[in-house]
Amino acid sequence: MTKKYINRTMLIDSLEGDIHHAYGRLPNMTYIVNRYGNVIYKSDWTDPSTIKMALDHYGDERKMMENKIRVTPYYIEWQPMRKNDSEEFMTILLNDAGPKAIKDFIASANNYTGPVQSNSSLGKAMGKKLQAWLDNQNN
Amino acid sequence: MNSYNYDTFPLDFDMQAFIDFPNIANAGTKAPDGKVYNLKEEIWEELSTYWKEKTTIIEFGSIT
Repeated sequence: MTKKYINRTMLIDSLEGDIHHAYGRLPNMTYIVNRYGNVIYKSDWTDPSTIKMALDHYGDERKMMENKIRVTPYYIEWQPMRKNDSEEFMTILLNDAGPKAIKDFIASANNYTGPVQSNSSLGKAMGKKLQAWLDNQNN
Repeated sequence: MNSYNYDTFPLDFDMQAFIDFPNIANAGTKAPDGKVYNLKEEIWEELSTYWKEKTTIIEFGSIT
C-alpha cells in the first residue's frame, strides 16, 4: 500500500484486534522482533530515533557474534520524552482521517473521567483547547 | 461504518492499557504470533512469516 509517506507492508488485524491485544492494545506501539521470534525492543510510542538506536545496537551485536565475540543479554528500562504538539497532531488527523475523527477525539477528551497527568491529551481542558483549535480552522 | 470496533476511542484514553503494557510481550520473550491480512497480496498469513525471513519492525496504527 502506498499513500503519501507510507510505503511499506500493511497488515490488517481482525476486527476484534487479536494481534493488537496480544501486543498491548495501545495505539502507536512499536516492536522489533529478531529472526528467532524474540522481542528485542518494545515501545508504547513509535519514535524513529530510538528505533534507529535499537537497530544500530542490534547490528553491532550481530557483528560481535559473527566475529565469535562472547555476548550476553542485559535488561534495560528507559523513559525518554517526546514532542507532544496537539495542534500538529490535530492537523495531521484532520488531513488524513477527516473532521469526524477530530470531533470524535474531542468528544472522547471531554468524556474522559480517569486520572489526568500534566501535559496530557486527556480531559476536558484538552477537549476545550482542541475545540478552540477546530473553531479557528472553521473561521 | 458509523461506529468503532473498540469501546474506547481513541485508545489513548484506555488507561488500563498503559498500566498493563510493561507486563505484555516483553523484550527477551517470544513475540505473539497470529493471523494478519496482507493488504497488498490480499491473503491471510502468519505474522511470524516476516520475522522468520529477517528482523522485523512492527508498528501499530489505526485507520479511522
